[in-house]
Amino acid sequence: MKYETVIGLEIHCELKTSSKIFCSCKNEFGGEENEHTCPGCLGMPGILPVLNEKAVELAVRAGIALNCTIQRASQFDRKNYFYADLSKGYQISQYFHPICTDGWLDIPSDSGEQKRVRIARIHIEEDAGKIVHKNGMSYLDDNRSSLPLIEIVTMPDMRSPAEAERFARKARAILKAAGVSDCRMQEGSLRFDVNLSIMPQGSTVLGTRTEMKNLNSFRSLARAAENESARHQSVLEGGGSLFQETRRWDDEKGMSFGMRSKENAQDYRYFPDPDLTPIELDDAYIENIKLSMPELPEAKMQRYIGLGASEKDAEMLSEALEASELFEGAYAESGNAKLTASLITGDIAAKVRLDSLEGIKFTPSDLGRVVKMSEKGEISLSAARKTIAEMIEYGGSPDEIVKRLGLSQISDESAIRQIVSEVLEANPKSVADIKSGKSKAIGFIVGQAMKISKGAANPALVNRIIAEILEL
Amino acid sequence: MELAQLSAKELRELLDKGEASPLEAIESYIRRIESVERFIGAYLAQTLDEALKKAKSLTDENNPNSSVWGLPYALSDNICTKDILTTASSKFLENFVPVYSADAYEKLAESGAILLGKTGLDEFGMGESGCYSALGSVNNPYDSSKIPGGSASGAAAAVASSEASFSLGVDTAGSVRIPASFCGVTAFKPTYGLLSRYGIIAHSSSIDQVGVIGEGIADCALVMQAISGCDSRDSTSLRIDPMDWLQFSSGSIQGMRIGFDASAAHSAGEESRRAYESAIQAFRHLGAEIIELRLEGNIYALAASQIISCAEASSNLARFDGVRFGVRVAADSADGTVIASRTHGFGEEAKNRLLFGTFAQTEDNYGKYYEKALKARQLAKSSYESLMQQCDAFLAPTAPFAPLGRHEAIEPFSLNINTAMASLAGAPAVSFPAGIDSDGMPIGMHLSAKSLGERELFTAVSAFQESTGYHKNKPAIPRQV
Repeated sequence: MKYETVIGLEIHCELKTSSKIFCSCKNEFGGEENEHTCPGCLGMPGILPVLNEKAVELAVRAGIALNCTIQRASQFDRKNYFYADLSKGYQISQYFHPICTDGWLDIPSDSGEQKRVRIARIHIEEDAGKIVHKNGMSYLDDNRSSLPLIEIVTMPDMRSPAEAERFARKARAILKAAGVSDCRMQEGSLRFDVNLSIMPQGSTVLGTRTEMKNLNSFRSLARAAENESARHQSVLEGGGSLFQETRRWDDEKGMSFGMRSKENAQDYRYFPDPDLTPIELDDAYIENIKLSMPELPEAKMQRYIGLGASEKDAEMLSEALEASELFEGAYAESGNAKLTASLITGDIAAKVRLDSLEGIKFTPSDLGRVVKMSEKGEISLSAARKTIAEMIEYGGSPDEIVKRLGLSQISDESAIRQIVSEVLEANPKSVADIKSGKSKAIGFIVGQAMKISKGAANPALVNRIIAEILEL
Repeated sequence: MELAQLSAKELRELLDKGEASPLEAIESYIRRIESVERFIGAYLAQTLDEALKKAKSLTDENNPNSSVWGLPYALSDNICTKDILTTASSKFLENFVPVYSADAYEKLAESGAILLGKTGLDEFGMGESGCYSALGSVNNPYDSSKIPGGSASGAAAAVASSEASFSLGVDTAGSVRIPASFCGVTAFKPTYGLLSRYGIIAHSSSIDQVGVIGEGIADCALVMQAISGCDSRDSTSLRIDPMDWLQFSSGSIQGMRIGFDASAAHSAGEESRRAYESAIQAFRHLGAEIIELRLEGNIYALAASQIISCAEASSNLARFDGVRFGVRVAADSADGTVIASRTHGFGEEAKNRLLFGTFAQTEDNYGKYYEKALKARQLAKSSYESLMQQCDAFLAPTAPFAPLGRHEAIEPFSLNINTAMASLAGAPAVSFPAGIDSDGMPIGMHLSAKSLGERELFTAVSAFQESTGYHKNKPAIPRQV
């Protein structure tokens, strides 16, 4: 039997605020253990939560970017469970009345056309601390305790691990562009839970669903989903039956393990948090945020195409915030969108990740300068590429690199005329061939001229001068 | 004359005139504590050395204009005091020294009031009898064989036995008013949000409110003048203009409408009924318009307050899990350690309530109990509000019966039948002495007003106290038989 995989995602995304959600401790990755803590996020009795308004603003931005309805009134609830990393014995979240509902995001489906993935809700919550196991002991680090998060919950609208990955990538690009989060996956500021079931092709009845929590890369998201889908299929085909459970994905072993079943499912005893008053937003507040929204990837892509970038380059650039910033800065200098974009998505992307551009040592205007030199014929395209490679590796100003490596292109007509004359004199046979109509021989002459000029001659000029001298 | 025998207001006047010094006041209280504390047990910990130091250092720059300057006072031990042990009468916090102070304590310290110590209570404020402290019980100053009332039993007993000129406790469904009634002192529970909950060890966050205990309502006014005001550290703190509390406790009640319901004293016994009637008469003589009303919804309010307070407590006290605080009983699994620690760390009454609260909130029971309690709360609130449209203040006996013997069985929550409604409505209320019964035990009356109706409340109780003088009655310690 052929099966169809059904996937829904929960995306946990840490908000880019300067302080934690309910106290004034810094929201900062790293630092000494428990450096960013206070009686509030340590759960000491008597300390009350005071909501960081920036977290609300960022959640609303996420909602707008993901086409949600922004609720005029929402409320915090307590999610009660015992776990050592949970300092108060409950997590402050939004259960009954989330801040955003009913959104969507379009992604390319496996069959190629656009498909709409519905977003059920986005709610605000606080993160838990971290348990650190070392030397046979367990320690608590509460730097993460009470960091602001949003959780984005989709409907089960994805039909393959690839679609899930596409959704996740697109959502990440949007959240970053909207300024909601840094989305640094290696720091855990973006994590995915996958809800997955399978059903016979064509069926409309969903199968038993399992959940895999805390996947922190696109690769593990896709692999975990592939693996789980295959596991469901082999259980069903082996005559077994699935049960609703939460599983832990082990990326190293490449397989998942059962954690707890529905029967042992926790009862979180949600109830409205009496320490916090409802969040009430008026139309003017929401309108203001709408007006101040940064440009999102979709619009950016269209704009880049309008500037002359290819569709594929425009898409790649618009989905990586850092690359798009590089592009904009370089384009302002170069005025050539097509070449600027293709150098970023080609030469630069081959060396550095576009979604972080980590460690690059040049400025956007440096790149723009390279493009401009190439455009003006001061250097050849291949020299431009060499210059960029050098800039990625060691930094330095483009003019200095071009000079140092002798990449500047000879566009001095008399110098080229001199070289061409020498080549023609030394190769009478080729000249004869050309004159008798064998145009292939022109290539040989051009090659020789380039060789003598060590590649610095402007090839267009070489061609023109050959034609002039031989009166072609 | 011992200064400790004076009311806060009387002492403050002597300090103001320079006829007594903060040091003399503290020394008098220390003598008093040394002679009677062993019969009362109001304090869990005393801070007398610090108090002496502070009294000596109180000089002009320490705000002698403040209403509580130089006044020795006590704090219930669920109010956090920086660098001073704060136990909430629980084994879990037996060694807990907070690194922060409650807003009310900060304000008192800044205003030049002098802390004498921390008083006992029912563990985490969970109890009405005063018998459920895990760290030492409090006696009723009028008769040590009788319950003091709870949960803020020590705070009321300290003022009743002249071991503090005033005290603060935390009122949930009657936690300062019940012990005040049983110990013969005056207790004020403000409108919800008027005092900050910052630094109060939470029992039931949506109901908890700091309460003030003094000999009379004029003493409470002095304290409110110093501690009320908005606090940005508490999201439920009311953003309103400051009130002039010192103006509240004077003035006429001519024409003020005071409501009563004879059935409110049904179960209260003959003597309490008579005290109720005579309190009504007293208000009538003072010029109030007395209106007979039907109090409805108090049974539902009582049930709702039980469910809500226990449920909120079950969440508020979840942090005591053997990982971070005090009691830790290690078992062979993480869950096992949580269970063993909580089993060992909480007292019986606390455990009963936590279990009950947890039960009421499970997924299966939420709709049956918790959600219904929230609805009942709304109903109680609206029925209270409509009652308050017909009168300016409503009078009832504070407790439905006189203080029981220590070993008499008590129906859980039954003591809060007349106090829970104002709590759920977030409205202000006062319990004040209104006579002594034939056993020599005090009888308390309860007057409540609409939210932010403090002016009417203070004016009415003040007029009553000036004309009757019941609040001046003092217990003989030890009891003369």
